[in-house]
Amino acid sequence: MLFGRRKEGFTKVEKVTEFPKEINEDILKEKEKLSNIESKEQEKPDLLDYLDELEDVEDLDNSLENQDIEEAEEKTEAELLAEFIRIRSKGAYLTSKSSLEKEEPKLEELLDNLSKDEGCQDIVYIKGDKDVYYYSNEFMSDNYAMIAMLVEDKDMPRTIAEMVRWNGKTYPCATPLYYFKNSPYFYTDAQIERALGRIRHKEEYSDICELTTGNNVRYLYSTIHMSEKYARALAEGVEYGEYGYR
Amino acid sequence: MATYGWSGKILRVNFTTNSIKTEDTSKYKDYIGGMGIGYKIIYDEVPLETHPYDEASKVVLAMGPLTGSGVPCSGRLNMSFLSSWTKGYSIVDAHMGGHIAHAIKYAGYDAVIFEGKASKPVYLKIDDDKVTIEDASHIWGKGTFEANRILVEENGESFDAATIGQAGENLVNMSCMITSVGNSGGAGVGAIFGSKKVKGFVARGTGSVKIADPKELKEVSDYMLRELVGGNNNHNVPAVPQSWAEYSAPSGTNRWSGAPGRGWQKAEGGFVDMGEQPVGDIDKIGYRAHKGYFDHGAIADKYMVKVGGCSSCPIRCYAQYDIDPLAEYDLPTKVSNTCMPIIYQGAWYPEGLKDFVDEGDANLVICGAGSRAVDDYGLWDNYGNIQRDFNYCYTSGILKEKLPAEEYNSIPWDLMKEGDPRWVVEIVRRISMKEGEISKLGLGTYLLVKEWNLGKEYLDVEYLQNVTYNGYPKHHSSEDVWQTGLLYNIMYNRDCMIHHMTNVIQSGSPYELYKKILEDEFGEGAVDKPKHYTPMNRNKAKLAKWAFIGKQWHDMATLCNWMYPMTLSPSKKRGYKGDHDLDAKYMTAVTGEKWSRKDIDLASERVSNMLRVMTAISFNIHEGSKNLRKDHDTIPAWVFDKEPDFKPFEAGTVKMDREDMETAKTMFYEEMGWDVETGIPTRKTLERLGLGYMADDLEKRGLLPA
Repeated sequence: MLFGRRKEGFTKVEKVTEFPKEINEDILKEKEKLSNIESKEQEKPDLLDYLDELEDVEDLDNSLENQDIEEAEEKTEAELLAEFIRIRSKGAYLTSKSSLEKEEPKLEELLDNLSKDEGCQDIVYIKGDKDVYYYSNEFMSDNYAMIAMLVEDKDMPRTIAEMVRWNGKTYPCATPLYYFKNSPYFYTDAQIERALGRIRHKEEYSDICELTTGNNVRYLYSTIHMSEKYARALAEGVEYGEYGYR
Repeated sequence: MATYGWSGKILRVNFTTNSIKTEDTSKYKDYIGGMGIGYKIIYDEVPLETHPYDEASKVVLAMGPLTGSGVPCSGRLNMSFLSSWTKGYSIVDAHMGGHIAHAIKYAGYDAVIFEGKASKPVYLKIDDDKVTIEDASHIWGKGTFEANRILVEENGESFDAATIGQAGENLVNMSCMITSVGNSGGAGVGAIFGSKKVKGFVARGTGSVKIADPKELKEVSDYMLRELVGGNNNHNVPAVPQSWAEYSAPSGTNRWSGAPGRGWQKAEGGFVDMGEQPVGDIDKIGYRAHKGYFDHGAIADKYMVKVGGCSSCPIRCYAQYDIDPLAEYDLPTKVSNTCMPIIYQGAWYPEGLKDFVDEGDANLVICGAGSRAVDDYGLWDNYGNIQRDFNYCYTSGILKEKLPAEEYNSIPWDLMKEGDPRWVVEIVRRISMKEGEISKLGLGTYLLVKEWNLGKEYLDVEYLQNVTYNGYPKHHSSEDVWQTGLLYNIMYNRDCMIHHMTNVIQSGSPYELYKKILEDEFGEGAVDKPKHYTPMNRNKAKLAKWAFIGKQWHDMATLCNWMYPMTLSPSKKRGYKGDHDLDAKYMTAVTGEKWSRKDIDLASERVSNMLRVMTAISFNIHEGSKNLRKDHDTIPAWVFDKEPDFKPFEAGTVKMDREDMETAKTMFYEEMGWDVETGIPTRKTLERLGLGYMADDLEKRGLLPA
């Protein structure tokens, strides 16, 4: 699992209509006990029987019928694909083109239809080095898609360098190594060290520099966006904070 | 008589005469509530010559029209009284969250005036309109946890309680009051109650706050929750990237710290993952603040049970822990706090800390022990000054010099050196029980300097972080907000407690984004780049005035200044802009009167000027001063001399410039309508605010600017 966590749309959810909000095992056990006791007692009137006895109420705005019609309308394949991408986006996942190609032989045609469908304009894509990734910008921000694309491409040195540059330009800030241990990266210390080793030896990453704060926290910054002195001041400001070193 | 918002009554309890009376709130309406009512009553009734521990001294505990109204983040109360520990001994406030403010409002009171002195230990029982003074002999001498537990057991679980600990009973200046759910109000209020032999109070209210337009209130509240509210400190972007969010705080130090994979391992039923909390999803707002992670990093998850918070607040900023390594030292393991007690106990260990079970858990475990100790003894830390005073005096040899040899040798320093959590309990006990010379640390920094002849130079030491020479430290000052932050830091008689700007600057939002939002309102040049500030300008002074007077509003209304004002929003469709008219919208919905931001600013300015006038009078009485600029607003040398490798205004520093800061004061005084020579409000300003009677008072005392 890419991000190592459960997300809506990616876990099998069994619908238990009796308990629409939460399933609490203790409550279930208690209910089971009670039902055993109740079954031994006199049977109570059935709720459905009771409801059947009630008079019908006129559906003034025909909402039930309209609902039926709506449900009966079939979605196009493009809409179904859009729905699939939306669900994944809501779960913080990009949808790679390569994965779709495995499932859908007429993918290009489908994507073409999708791009023309007015109801699917939230479906956009971002190009990585290794794939093209689709997402719904209704549920996933463009900036997050950029991060997720880098993570999906699994090029850690590039991911680290790009994010250090982006953070330096955008906020601006220096980027602590521990940033990459958080969601959505979840890199281990060993992975980060290996990536840093490669960054140090590649010309394309020569702007990426490292500093260590007074409390031994390591930060990266890009010389394209800030000087060492300024980066250090920002990093020390974070670590020293309001009360002193954490 | 109750009106919309206000309960309509003020409870006045005299512990000398055992008299219990109620008065009409309406005569204080210009002062709104909370801090405003408190200041008016103290000014009218307590001569500023009064010693804070004298019978004539009073504590005014007050709420505002929004307290208990259902407005989000309105679970706070304000206590006003005379300071026992700062230069000038002027007016100060303690602020307390939790649930007890609601209880008092629901019992039918906007304020409670504690006056006189009891002959024996008592506590006040507020049970709707049945108010009694009860014997407290059986809880006198007990810590707050035990005292609160007993009071709740004796009176019933529907009561909330608040008590002082041994520090307050023993008249330790650095003392506070703690509620039965662990909220504290500091500034030395514990000893004021202690001087009155009042252990605390319990409250149960079964009434309500009348709302003029409940439908509108619901709509404004929903709007706030859907579009405006962020995480703790109203930080408007998450600390960790979330899929719906454009931005996050790469350093991970902003306070919207709940994130996928983070949570509470000791939660009932197993680990709770705080997940993502998209804007607009109001059911997930409660998962945004993971204060434990913010304070202590990933190790906090191991000991977190859940997050808690105040009545009416969707932001659960109280980290609740079960820190079981403490059991090995026979110390309590259940800890809940959100502020300095759970952050800053490591400073009691000048020789460093040692990990307990896991790498990096030392500070968390020590803070757990320290938090319980200071809260139980009711010791207030003056925003970390008491720890810093101890630490510096230990490392610089002052303690060895000032303490009698016998006492010094009796102190179990080995516990400190070993990083033993029992050390923090022991040092807190000694100070709270006024045991030995070392307990002078409980006098507060200003009086400690006098007592031990440490000289003015002591307050110039950077480590000690004093923001004036009056005895209190900075609190989100120039390190966040350049001249602007420093200006409002020096306005009070305690640490400033203003979060208007740190809520923005530390939000994690891109600089250019929040700069535009603020400069659209306050003008070009009002906002500087992080760690790269520019010379003072008029718009920074306007910004400082907005933050300074606005904080008073929150302590009048009452609203939580850690959340309000809603300057930023997490909503991209709003361009991340909050809503500075929100407070007025709530006032209109709750009170039924038409409130505008201008009305709120006027009321806020009024009470801000009361603070200034009372400070001027107190400084005149106790220091012979006729000039607050010179005698109150002076900034210690370290603020200008730190970071020797930098020059002021250079990229990478917040080292301030002396001349520029004098310009800043002048501009700020001008914005406030104060005399630039003395920093004292002019008659014109006071009369504009309906405070002509204060101008008369200043004139009689020879303090009114020409």
